[in-house]
Amino acid sequence: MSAADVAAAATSGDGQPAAAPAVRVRGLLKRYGQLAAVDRLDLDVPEGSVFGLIGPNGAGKTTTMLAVVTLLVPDEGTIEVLGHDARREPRDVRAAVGYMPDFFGVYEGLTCAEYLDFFAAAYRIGPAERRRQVADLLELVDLSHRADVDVSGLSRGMQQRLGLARALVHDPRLLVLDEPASGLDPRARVDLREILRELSRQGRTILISSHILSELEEICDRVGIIEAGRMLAQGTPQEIRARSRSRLVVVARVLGGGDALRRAADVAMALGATRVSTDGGRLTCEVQGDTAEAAADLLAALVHAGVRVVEYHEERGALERLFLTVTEGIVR
Amino acid sequence: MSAARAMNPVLRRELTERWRGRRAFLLLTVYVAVLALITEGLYWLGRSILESQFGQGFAGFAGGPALGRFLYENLLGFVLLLVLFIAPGYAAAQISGERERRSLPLLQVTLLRPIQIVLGKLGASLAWLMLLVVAALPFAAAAFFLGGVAVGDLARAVLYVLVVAVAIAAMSLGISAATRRTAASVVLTYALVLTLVFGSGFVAIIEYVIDANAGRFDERPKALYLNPFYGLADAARIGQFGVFEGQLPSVLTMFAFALPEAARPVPAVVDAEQVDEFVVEPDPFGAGRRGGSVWVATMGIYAGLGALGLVVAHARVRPGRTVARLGRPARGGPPRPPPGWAPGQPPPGPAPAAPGAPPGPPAHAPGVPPGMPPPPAGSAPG
Repeated sequence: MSAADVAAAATSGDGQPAAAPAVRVRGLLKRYGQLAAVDRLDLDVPEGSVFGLIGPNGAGKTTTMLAVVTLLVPDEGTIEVLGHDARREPRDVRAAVGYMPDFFGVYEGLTCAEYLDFFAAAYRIGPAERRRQVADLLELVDLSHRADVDVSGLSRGMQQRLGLARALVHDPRLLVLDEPASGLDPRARVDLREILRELSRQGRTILISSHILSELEEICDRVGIIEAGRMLAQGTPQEIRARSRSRLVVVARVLGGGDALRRAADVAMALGATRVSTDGGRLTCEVQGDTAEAAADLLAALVHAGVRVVEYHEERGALERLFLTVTEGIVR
Repeated sequence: MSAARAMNPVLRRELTERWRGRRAFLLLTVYVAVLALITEGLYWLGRSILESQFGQGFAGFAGGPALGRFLYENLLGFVLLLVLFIAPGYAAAQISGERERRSLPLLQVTLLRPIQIVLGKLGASLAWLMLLVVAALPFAAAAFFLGGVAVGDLARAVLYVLVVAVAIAAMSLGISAATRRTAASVVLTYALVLTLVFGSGFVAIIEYVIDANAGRFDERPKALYLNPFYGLADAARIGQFGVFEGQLPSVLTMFAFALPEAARPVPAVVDAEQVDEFVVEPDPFGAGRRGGSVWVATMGIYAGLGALGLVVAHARVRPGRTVARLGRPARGGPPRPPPGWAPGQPPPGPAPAAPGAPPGPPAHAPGVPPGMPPPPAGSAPG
């Protein structure tokens, strides 16, 4: 691991899962008929972390989350949530967990405030406290101006935010959010991310799922890659990156047309880069070895060889490529 | 129980939803107006029948009890009919509707106990119906002005109707919890009600024919105990002898003929000369009548069926091994990319460098003229 990676890991504040786990899943098995939706899955979510559960649709993310929030009794395995066994003490778990599914349960004819008040009452919160809590939550998710608007008249993004507020009515220590960003427009995604950051700052543990990596890359301390019901890898994004053969894709835009590109490609290959391509006036390749060093070396070599580099950057969504790499082995 | 939990949240939400605004107010007004019209119409109908039978003026004091019973029995029959057709309508959608709206998991994950959800739903299905029943009472009570009806008669009949209403709603709730679609739930629920009303009558006819063929003319068909109107006829202490003895036939009269001998009350008015006997039930709950508790038996059967419905509903509302599939549509479909944002595209909004981005290479290097010495970054290759 390079100095840069260590630094990055340190700034993310969570190098190792040292804190007590908020969620500890061991050997979770859930079958639907013949299909094992979750196949002996282990999961550790450190308290206070933002944990991203990443996998394609049908990978078992939702089933895992349902089991964690006690809505589903697994066939095998143990689940501990904040020190409570999900099967033996489901009510203790429910009291400590806020769950937001990947859909919004509408009650037509209720206003936003009434909707939240109803769920707060369902968590046995007294009327006076409910009123305060509902106002606070509407404020948090920026829906105060819609407090008296019918729930069914909200936009998708607003519904999502209201759903998040609903999951927070009982001030849970753990939030379980199933694909919260799906179906949202870019603006709404940014809003959601900001709210999640705020919730994380408040010290809540967040377990969040997505089938799109870039959604989570920025807000997660730790991620778990899940596919076909199995947990393929868990750790900080950096750890997983390091585990997957340190593959780093860099893109260089160079002046000088085909000749320059060919020269650049030669330089890259001389340095051991793989998957070199020169499409669209750009050199794209995977640098060998330690990421930061190798990328820097390549740039230096290019410049030294007289290639006029206009732009040089690491390709965004590298985690996404990483995910594909990590999953490929199992699928085939 | 603390004040915070004074009312079941599920019930409270339902009441908020349904009784907001003017709709409920208007519906109730129209309902009461229709009841008033029906009562008035029954009164004039009964009066004209009596006068055509016994001559002008009979419908005055002498015919009062007969008219009173006529109003009372028909209104009770109407209220029971209302119960049988409204209770399933509300209850059948309660739990399947939550499922369709996909709000059931949201309830299950709260601290509400499954039994609270079920009872809240039961209350929600019944609240409106109870109001309708109660609103009909003053009209049935109008019979008190005419005579022929004891207060106990009304109390007993109302108790019976309320128990049947709760039971029907509870059965419907069970069906609602057991089905996934509200449409299926509604169809099954009404099929059940029709079976209880007409199916029991049909089986009773078969029973009667079999018994009659065997020479057992005094046997009463057992299937009628499932028929809600049969029990009501008993609970209402119906007279059974028809117009020629000073009674008017009501919707309940035909059931009265099937009541066991001992359960048959004395006719309200034996003839015009014996008007002193028009109140014949000194004991409102029929104690001392031999075998005269058809209504109690029917109520018991309905209570049992209702309890069964609640047990089914409770079992189906409890988080279990299948809730995942009930809570969401089909699993394992093809991957759906979210609208407007394909994977691989850069994330929208402010996109800072990836967490692991090496600080070494500049994100945007200025053009470097050829021939210049390489920038002192990293170890320069040879």
